[in-house]
Amino acid sequence: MSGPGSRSGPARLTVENLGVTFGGVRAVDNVSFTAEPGAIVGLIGANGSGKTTTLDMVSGLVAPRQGTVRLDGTDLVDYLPEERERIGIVRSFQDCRLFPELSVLDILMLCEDVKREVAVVSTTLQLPWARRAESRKRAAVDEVIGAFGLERFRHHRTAELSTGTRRVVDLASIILAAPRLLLLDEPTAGIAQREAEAFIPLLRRLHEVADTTIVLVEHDVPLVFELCSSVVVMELGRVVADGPPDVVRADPRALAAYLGASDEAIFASGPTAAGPKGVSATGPDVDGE
Amino acid sequence: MLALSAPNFVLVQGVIIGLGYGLLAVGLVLIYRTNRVLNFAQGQVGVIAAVFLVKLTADFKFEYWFALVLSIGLAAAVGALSELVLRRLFNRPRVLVMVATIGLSQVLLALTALPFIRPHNLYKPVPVPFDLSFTLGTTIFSPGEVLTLIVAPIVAVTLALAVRSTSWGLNMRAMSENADSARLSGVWIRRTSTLTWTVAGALSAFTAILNAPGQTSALTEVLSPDLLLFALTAALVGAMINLTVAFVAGIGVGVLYELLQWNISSTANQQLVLFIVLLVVLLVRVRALRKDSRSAERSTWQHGAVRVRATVDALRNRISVSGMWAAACGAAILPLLLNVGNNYLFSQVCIYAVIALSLTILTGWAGQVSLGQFGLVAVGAVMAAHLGASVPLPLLLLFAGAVTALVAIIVGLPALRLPGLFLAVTTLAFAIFMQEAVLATPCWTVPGIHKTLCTGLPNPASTLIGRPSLFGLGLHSERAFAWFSLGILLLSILAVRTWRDKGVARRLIAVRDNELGAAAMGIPVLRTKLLAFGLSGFMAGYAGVCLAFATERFSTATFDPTISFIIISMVVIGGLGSVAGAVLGALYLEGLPALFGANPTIQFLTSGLGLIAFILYLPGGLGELLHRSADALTLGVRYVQERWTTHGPLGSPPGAATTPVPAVPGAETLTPEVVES
Amino acid sequence: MLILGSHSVRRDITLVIEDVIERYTEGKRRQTGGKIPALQVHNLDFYYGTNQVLFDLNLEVEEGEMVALLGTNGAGKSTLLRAVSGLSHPHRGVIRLFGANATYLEPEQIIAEGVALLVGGKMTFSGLTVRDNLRIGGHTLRRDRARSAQALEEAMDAFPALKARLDQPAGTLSGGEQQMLALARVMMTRPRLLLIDELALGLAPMTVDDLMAMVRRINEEGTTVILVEQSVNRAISLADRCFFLERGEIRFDGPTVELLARDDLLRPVFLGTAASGLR
Repeated sequence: MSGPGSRSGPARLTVENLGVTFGGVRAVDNVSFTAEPGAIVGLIGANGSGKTTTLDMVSGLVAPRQGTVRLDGTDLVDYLPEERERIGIVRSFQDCRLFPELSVLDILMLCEDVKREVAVVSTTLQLPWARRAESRKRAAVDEVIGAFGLERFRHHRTAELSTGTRRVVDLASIILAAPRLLLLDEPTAGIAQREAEAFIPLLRRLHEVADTTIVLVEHDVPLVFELCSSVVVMELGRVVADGPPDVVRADPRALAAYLGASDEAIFASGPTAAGPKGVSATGPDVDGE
Repeated sequence: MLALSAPNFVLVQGVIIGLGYGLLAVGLVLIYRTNRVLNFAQGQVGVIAAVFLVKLTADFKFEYWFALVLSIGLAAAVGALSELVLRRLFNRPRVLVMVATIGLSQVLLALTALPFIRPHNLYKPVPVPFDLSFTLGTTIFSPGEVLTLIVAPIVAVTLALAVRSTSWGLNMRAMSENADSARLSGVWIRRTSTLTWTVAGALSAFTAILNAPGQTSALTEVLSPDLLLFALTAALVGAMINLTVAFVAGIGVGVLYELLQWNISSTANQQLVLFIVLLVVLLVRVRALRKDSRSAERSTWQHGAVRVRATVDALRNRISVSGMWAAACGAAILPLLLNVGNNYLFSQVCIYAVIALSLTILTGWAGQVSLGQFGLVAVGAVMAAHLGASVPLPLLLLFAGAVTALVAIIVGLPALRLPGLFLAVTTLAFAIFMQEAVLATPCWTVPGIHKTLCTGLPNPASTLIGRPSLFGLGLHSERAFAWFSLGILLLSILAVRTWRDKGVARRLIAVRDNELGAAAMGIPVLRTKLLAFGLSGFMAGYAGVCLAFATERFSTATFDPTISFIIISMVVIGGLGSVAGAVLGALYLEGLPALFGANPTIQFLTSGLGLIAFILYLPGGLGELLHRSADALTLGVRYVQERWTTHGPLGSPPGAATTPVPAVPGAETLTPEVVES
Repeated sequence: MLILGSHSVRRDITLVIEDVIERYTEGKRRQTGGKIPALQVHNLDFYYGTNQVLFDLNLEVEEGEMVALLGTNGAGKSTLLRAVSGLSHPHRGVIRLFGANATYLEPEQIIAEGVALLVGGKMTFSGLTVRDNLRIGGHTLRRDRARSAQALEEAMDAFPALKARLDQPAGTLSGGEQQMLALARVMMTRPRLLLIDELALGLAPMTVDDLMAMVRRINEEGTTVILVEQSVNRAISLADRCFFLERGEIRFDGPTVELLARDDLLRPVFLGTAASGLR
């Protein structure tokens, strides 16, 4: 697979006129933005604004009705989620309940398995190269466990961990996946206050170590402002503001979007929103947005 | 190719039996909609009613109508009771509930032996209230059949009205769509659930009573798996949601069956067509079935599987390892001490343990419920029957394994995109297909191509298979074969443990627990599922070869589909996903009854009731028991160690590292849904 | 094992003591003639598995009030509603509905007490007709035919749009109409306490206004309403009092207008200036 997969280092993400409809509701409507290589882009907006759906379209879980998603210029329309993973798009999940029955060690080893596939027969017979591959994976995983302080949870099933720890495991697995574009979906949601405060330096460190472009969907706006080089504000499926944190902060539309459907937002969005009664149908059936 | 034509009376016959299938299918759909459970005991409930009816009319001389009402009432009550017993399993892994329903059907079968239910004379036919019969062409339709033609549609229509207008029907429909919303709307879901099972029980009673007069032989107490499969197929046509479609499909299946009987002479071809029909139905209904089951299936695997984890504690590790060595050595010595009969049993237990291990991979790790594992074993046995004399043993084992792996993959393909519990249906069909078609027909002419395939046993009634020698050593003595079986078992255990610890298991479990997440991680989902089928089939294949040589003589009756039920019970009793558990399960269900069969306690423990008790009260199975005793042993050893070395503070309190303690007692019950908090 | 045992025993004793204290305080309050609040939550802890989501929550809602429950995603709002409605049971703490201890009741029982929970977007059964959907709501009235027929009539009058679609499957209705259907059903049972979780999720603003007007009417007729909201603006327009929940703890409890002035609390809401003060 030539193109984006063969290069290394942070990738550029270009999203153009992305749109998708769920059961009559325009969940995402004409969304465009760019993430420069190595940047951290924050995607914020109220519930139902379409942020997670946009992320789903970039990672391939949802197919867009209109628009394109490009990685380093290549259109990703034909790439399945696992294929996108292989070219370097790694995504974390909002409710990080990944695999409840697997231990932390298992999950991290799985990430390594994906990178270095060993045939079943070789594993069964424990041929020398299978053994060597396994120990190399073990070494890489041990390194990451140490780096993220997960030693005491090594053999615990993820079901037994707190949300914060699960998120750390998720981040650790991300490092192993050597992403070129990292999609983080509300990494601090559901995390207790004290753990959330530890996340900013953690994410910063992650950004340095992984040398990747990051697109971050979040509710914790100060965290986004602290961390991101560029902020995109969404409301009711559309982009309402886009730019560096200082610029966005001063934008009145962004403010209104965050306080929730103010009069300004209604009149600003034009005829679509003011359509005939009952224009929106059943809400999106994806969890949340 | 298949010219299906038939005189009218064949069609009418088809409709008559089809009505029975339809009613059964409707009951299955009702229960599935309410509780997302495939109730394998659905047919057996009705049989009790039929038997009771005979008892009341023949022995107690009750009036027919009065007896009928009582019998149906009994079946309804049994249905309600089943729900009450199985209720707490409804949120557990699907395989546990299904095996529980299988255990339930065994319990129900046992109930028919109760003195106040079992009639004195088993050969009395089920009575009919009137003596109406009619003639179509040259065929006379008996009163029983006429009764079916009249009563079944009435029952169906009544049910449809009840579902549409009664509050139970409304509640059931709401509950089937979204149980939580239903609760929040004030629906009493537990009562609705019990009521649904009651209705399903009554429906089953109708089927059994109406169908029974058509039986020419003695009152059948056991519901054949065929009947259940037909009903399941019809229910699947309705995508397990639509009652009307399921009912009509039931009639369709009946008609199809009679048409096939009339037009195709060989049983093998009939079965083939039916098998293909089922596969087609599944493929066509994939989307509808997937959508419905997705939310219920996801995350129901927690708290069901024995943890596949490495122990942290060095001492604990040493204890397990030494335990294993001790068991292995003990087992190796055993054949020397046992007599011929017991050595035969020893081989059997070893081989069944291997089969249970093969199912552990498929059902315990990959979450694909297979009710046809013994059908795969049959494939291996057939290889042995045909090639045993010509191919050297090690090669035969590998070859049989490979072929069976391929067959397993093919059988699993249709259910690949569906949740694990639908595989149960295809594998059940496969097991039936194997027994009735493949094995029974030694050589089979493929229609259309006119080529002959020799697949079945050379002599279906009873085939002799001579034992080969291994590397020059004869395996004719039971003792030698016992060692051989043990060797195979140990090798299998070694292989499975390697797979468990070196990557295969974690991949299967990841795909099982979160398909989308696994895909997003880069794990090839389809390939991983196929791997599970392949590995499982491979083991079942060579186990089949060993079984063939062990028994040296067997027939198609050996491969009864119900044996697959026993195998899955072994895996469940041993503990889903546990390697040691699989062996223990085989020992339990195969060894105990053979050794202590007369003992009533053992009879109870190994019966359907014992199985249900295990599932309800010891979900981790025997494997969990073993783990806990090893843990306890570790504690004891450590305590002794500490007492011996009295200098300095020694040893942190055990259990901190080995048994991760949830901070909250009762926290093992995890909420399955994603909740926006 | 002894250590584990003692730990859990100690915990149980603590819980029992808390329970006794709580009951005592309640009794005292009753004696001094205080009004019985519609909803009382005391010392609530909630876990999902080993994960603690609500930390020592305390709140009270008086009868007839309309309050808003604000907070971001993951704050615990929906979890609180789940606990109150009986869908899940808390690990520690007491929930009282109109004075009666309802902590461990099942939803069916709680509904029977006059509590209704409306979850935005999930309360209609799309496979059932509109009429059937309403019939389910009339469950508590099913004994009294006359009353349930009358309630149906009233619901039809209040929502003419639904009257026209009585025999259509609810799935064919628009999002706004489905919410109306859910509201109509709830209104039929005349609950004493109504919990609404994100009523406006995914709906056009105009529809939302209609629904809000209806909620206001319900409140005026005497039903206590608790509104879970993401939008502070909407909360202001409806509720005089509000709670602000963040990461499982209540940070603010008071008049909604005062909340807007609290920069430090509205962390997820940036206000144009004072950016550096946020953290």
